[in-house]
Amino acid sequence: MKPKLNPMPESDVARRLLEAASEVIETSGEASLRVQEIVEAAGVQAPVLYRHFGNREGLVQSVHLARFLRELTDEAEVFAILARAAGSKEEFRSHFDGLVRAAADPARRDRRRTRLEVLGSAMSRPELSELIGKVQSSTYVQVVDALIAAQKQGWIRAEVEPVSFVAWASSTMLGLAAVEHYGASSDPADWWIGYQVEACRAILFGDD
Amino acid sequence: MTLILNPGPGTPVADRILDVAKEILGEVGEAGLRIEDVMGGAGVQAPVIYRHFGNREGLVQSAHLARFLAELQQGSETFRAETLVAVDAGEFRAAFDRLLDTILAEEHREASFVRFEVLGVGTQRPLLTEAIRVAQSSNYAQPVAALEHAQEQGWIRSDIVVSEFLVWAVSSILGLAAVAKFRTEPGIIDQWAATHRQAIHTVLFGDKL
Repeated sequence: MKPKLNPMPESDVARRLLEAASEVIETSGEASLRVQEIVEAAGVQAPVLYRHFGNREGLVQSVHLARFLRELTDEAEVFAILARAAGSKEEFRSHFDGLVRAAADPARRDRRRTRLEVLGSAMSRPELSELIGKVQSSTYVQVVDALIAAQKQGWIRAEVEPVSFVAWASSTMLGLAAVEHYGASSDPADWWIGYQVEACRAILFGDD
Repeated sequence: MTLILNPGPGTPVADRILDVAKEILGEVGEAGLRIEDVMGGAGVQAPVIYRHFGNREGLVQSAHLARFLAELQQGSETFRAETLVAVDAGEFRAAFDRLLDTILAEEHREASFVRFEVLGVGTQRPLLTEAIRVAQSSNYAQPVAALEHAQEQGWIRSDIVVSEFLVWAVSSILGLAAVAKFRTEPGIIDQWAATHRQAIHTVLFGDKL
């Protein structure tokens, strides 16, 4: 059978399977997921799993996609900081600083790592890649709109291309995730974000 | 059996098994790696695979690590000691920009996908994480030395810590792999690279836009 991507199942049993699989993947990674353990934890028979997810691979991909969707929802909350109405350039700048602080918060470290893990796992999975690409662009609409509005007010440089700036700024956070997980420094977020903020300010506002 | 992390080079048989596994990972990803295919591809029986790699998971992690190390090796060839040799600020900047262009170029894209994939799938695997950590730690020594020299000469800003700057500038290039893989808007890759150039220039040279 082919993998069936089903990250937001309506049926109760499928949700239980997804939750059980999610727990295993989050604690010990997808390689350690055993179909037998999942069906036992969800209290169902194996054919139920295959009906809803096609096969083990479909379940794994569905978990990755579900985790990615959760992460995006959470990121949208951070972006909302910038979307608040600003009355002046100064206010917009302080919203921008708030956005960066929230995005780089050490408390979000696990979420950043999840994003790195899910996107990394999707690299060799064409169907999952395609779905991730589709949901991703729509998350950034809010913050792109905020930049467009600020640009109309003359608060950010006219040369900035909002869509690609946001794609750059958000994707580079994956670098922070990698440094946090693989780097030698125990808490790199401070200096990493320091350079990032400086670059963002220079690009958006033209200062250093 | 427990997994054995064995990224090679080792015995000819182990290397052959590893080559087949790397090829499969490159083509269909780890979910598509079947021991029978590796047996067929390398012309060995299953016990030989388990002797060298412990189990399937050991082979998967070893092949990921081998791909990552090959990519690191390619990266350090891009940066050779003479890459940033310069006699004045202008020459240094030109050399630096050439290096940046090489790193951001399309020829590097496949390698950056591999790097991204291994870093992603390594997050939940303690042995692989540790091996990647060790492999990466020595990787910045040469470019750091070159940038420190430039800083002593006053060719770059004096108020940055070059080792940290470099980690920031290089790690954030993971974003390019993500955008190239997952985004489809026309021109977005080139715009990403242009933005990254601006970002690095403002921080390293203090450029004003």
